[in-house]
Amino acid sequence: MAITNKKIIFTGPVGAGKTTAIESISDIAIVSTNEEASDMTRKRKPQTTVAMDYGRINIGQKEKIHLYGTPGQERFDFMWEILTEGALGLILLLDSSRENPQQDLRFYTQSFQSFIDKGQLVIGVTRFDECKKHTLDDYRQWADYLGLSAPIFSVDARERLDVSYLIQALLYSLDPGVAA
Amino acid sequence: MLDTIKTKPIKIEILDISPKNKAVLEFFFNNSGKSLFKKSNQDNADAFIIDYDFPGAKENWQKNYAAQKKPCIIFSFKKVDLPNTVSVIKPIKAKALADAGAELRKMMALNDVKAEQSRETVSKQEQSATEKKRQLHAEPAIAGNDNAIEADTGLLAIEEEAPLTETEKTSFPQINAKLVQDENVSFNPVDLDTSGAENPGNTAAKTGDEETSIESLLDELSADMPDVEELFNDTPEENETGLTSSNPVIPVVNNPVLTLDTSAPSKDKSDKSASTTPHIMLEENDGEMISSDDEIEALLQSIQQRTDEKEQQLESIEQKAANAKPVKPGREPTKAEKRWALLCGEIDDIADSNDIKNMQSGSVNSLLRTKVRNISYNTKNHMFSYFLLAIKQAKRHLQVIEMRYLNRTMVIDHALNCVYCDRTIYSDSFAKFCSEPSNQADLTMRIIKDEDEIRQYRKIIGLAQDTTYSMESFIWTASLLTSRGRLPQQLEITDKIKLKHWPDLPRLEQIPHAVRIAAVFYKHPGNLLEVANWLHIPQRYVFAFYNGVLALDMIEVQKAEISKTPEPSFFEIEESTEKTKNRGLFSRLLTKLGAS
Repeated sequence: MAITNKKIIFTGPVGAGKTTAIESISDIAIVSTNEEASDMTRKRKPQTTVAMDYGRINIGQKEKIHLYGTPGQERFDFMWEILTEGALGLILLLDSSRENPQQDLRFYTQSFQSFIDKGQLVIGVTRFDECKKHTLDDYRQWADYLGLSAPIFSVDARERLDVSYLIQALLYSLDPGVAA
Repeated sequence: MLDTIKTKPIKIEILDISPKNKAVLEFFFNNSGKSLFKKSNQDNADAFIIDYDFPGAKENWQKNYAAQKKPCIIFSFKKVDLPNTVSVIKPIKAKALADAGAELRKMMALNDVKAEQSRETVSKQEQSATEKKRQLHAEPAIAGNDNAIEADTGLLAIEEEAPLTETEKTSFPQINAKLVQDENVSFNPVDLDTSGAENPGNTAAKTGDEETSIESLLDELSADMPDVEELFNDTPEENETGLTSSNPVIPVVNNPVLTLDTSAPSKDKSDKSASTTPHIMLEENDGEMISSDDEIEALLQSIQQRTDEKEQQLESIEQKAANAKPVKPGREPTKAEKRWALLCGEIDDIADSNDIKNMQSGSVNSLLRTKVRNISYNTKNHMFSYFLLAIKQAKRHLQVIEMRYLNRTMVIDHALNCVYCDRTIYSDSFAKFCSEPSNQADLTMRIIKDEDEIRQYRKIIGLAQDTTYSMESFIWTASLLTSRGRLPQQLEITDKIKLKHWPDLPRLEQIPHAVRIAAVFYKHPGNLLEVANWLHIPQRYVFAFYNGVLALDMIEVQKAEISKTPEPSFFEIEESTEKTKNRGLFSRLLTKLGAS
C-alpha cells in the first residue's frame, strides 16, 4: 500500500489561533517557525509565525494528513500559494476581537480566491466570548455578501473538539456521502 | 491564621485543565491555598492535579503520568476510582480542595513509607542471599549440589525470607516519625501501629497537635476563599453590591454554579395575577423588579442547595462530548443515547426505499401520508412557539424580555444575544416542560425597560453562565425537545429543503449525524426522507435536524415540482458515480476525529 499524504491549510490574521488550532489536533509536537514580533503584531502576541506551522494527523502507518498554518502577516503571502498547492481544503480562522473582522474575511478570502474557487473553505471564528461586538449571524451575512459558500462556526482553537468540527465540516462538505 | 501554621505546601503540577480553570487554581494557590499547595513543574512536583473531563486528559494521565507513582487530584463530574488519586467531584469547593490536599499528603507519606519498605525488603533479600550463599559455600555437604546451583542463581534467597531483626521491626515507625518531623505535615501520616516506635510519645504528640491544626486550617481556608464576585468582577463598584455567598464556591469548572432561584417571594404575587390573564401579555415594564441585593443574595444562597439539576446538567455536558453511535440492541443505552432519545425521539422510520423512490417519481401513497400525519405536531400547542415569538420580538426591537411560565423564568437579552434561564435546559424536567402542551394562561411576557433592572439581570447573567445560553443554542435544544423527532404539521413531506447557513454545531447540543446532514442539505436540496435514505441513517435524526434549523430560520423550502420528464435528483444518482476518490481516507480520518 502506497503512502497517502494529504494536507489541510489553516490561515487567518495574526493571533486568530492558527498555531493553537494545529497544536490542538496534531498527533505530533508541532513545528513552528516563530520569531520575535517586531511590528504591530507585538501588541497581540510576543512571537509570530514567519514561514509556517506544521502538524500532522496520522491514520495508521501509511496515511498522513499534514496540517499547515500560514503566517498571518500579509508580507509573508508568498508562502500562501506554495502551501495551498494540492491541499484538501482551507480553514480560515478569524479573530472576533480584532477591529474589523469583516475586512479580514474579505482580505483572506480574496487572497485565497483561486483555491476557494476549486477547493473547500471552512470558517472558524475565535475569541467570540471575549468580544460581543458581532454575532455569528453577522459573519454569515458578510459571507453571503462576498458570495462565499462555507460552514461558519464559533470555535475555541484550544479545544480539540472544536477544531475537529472544522475538519469534519470540511470533509463532509467535500464528500457528503462519506461515513465515519 | 493560615500563615501561622507551618505546613510545607505540596508542590503540585497542573496537568490538563482548561486555561480558565487553571487561572482560577493558580489564583487559589497564590492566595488562600498558598499554605496547602505550591505550583511546580513536573520534575519538582510532589503531586499532580488534572481535570479528567478535559479532552485527552485521561489518556495523557494513563500514558504519561500514572506510572510515575506520584499522587494526583482528579477533578471530574463523576467519582474516579483510581489508585494513588484523590477524586474531587465538580463543581469544586474550597473545602473539597483542602480535603483533597490532606488526602494527598497521606498518600505521599504512604508512598514514601512503601518506597522505604520496598528498599528495605530488597536490601534484606540481598543481605539474606549473600548470607545464604556464604553459608552454602561454607557448608557444601549440607546444601547439596542442587541447592548450590540455586544459590548461585540467587533464586533460593528470594524464596526464603530471613526473620526480621529487632532493628528492622521498628524501622517503619522510625520512618514515619522522621517524615512527620521533616515535613512538618499536619496529619497522621499512615495507619501503622506505632506502639513499637522508639519514641512513640513524641510522634503521637506531634500528630495530635497537627490534627488540630489541619482542622483549623480547613475552617480558615473555607472562610478565606475569595468571593465568587471578586473572581468575576473587577470594578470596585460591582464588588460593593453585596453579592456574596455563605458557602463560597470556586468556579474551577467552566460553568460556575450560580443560578437564579425562581422561588423569589416577591415574584409570586405577580405570577398569580398573571396566571389569570387569558392572553399573553407584553407589559410595558410595570412588573416588580428583582433589584435588592439582599434578595439576590438570598437567591444565590438557596441555589447552592439545589444540586440535583446541576448534576443532570453536568451529565449532559458529558454527553455532548460523547461520540454518536447508534444503540445496539440488547444493551443498556448510555446517557448520551438517552439524551438523544429526548432530542430526536424514538420513532421508527416511516418510509422504506420503495416509498422514497415512488415519491421521487412524483407519487406519495396514502399510507405514507397517514404515517406523516401521525407523527406531526402543532408548534402552537407548545411553549416553544412563545419562546420564538419573544426572541424575534427582542431581536427586532432590541429589547430585553422576561418570560414567566409557572415557576420558570427566562430572560431574553438582545444585546448579549443570549437567553438566561433560572435553571438548566439540559435536564429531563426541561425536556418535559418543552414536550408537554402549554397553557397560555400561565404565561406572562414583559418587556424590561428599567435600566436598573436590566443591569441587575445582566449581573446575574454574568454570574450564571451555566444557565445562560446563546440564542442559537437555546432555540436548537428547545426546538428539538419540543418536536422529539416529529414533524411540524405544515410540512409537506415532498418539499425540498435547502440549508441557507450551517448552524453553529460546535456550540449546539450534539445529535447523531448532524454534520453529515448539514453538509447534504447545504449542498444538495432534498426532502427529508430521501436525505435520510441516501445517508443510510434513521429518519428521526434528519427530522430532528430539520426542526432545529427550521426554528433557527436557516432553511429555504423548494416546492417539489412534478414535470413530465423529471431530471434525476442528486439523490437518485448512483453512489458509484459520485466523487468517492478519497472516501476511504476521509472515513478513517473522521473515525479518528470521533465523528458520528
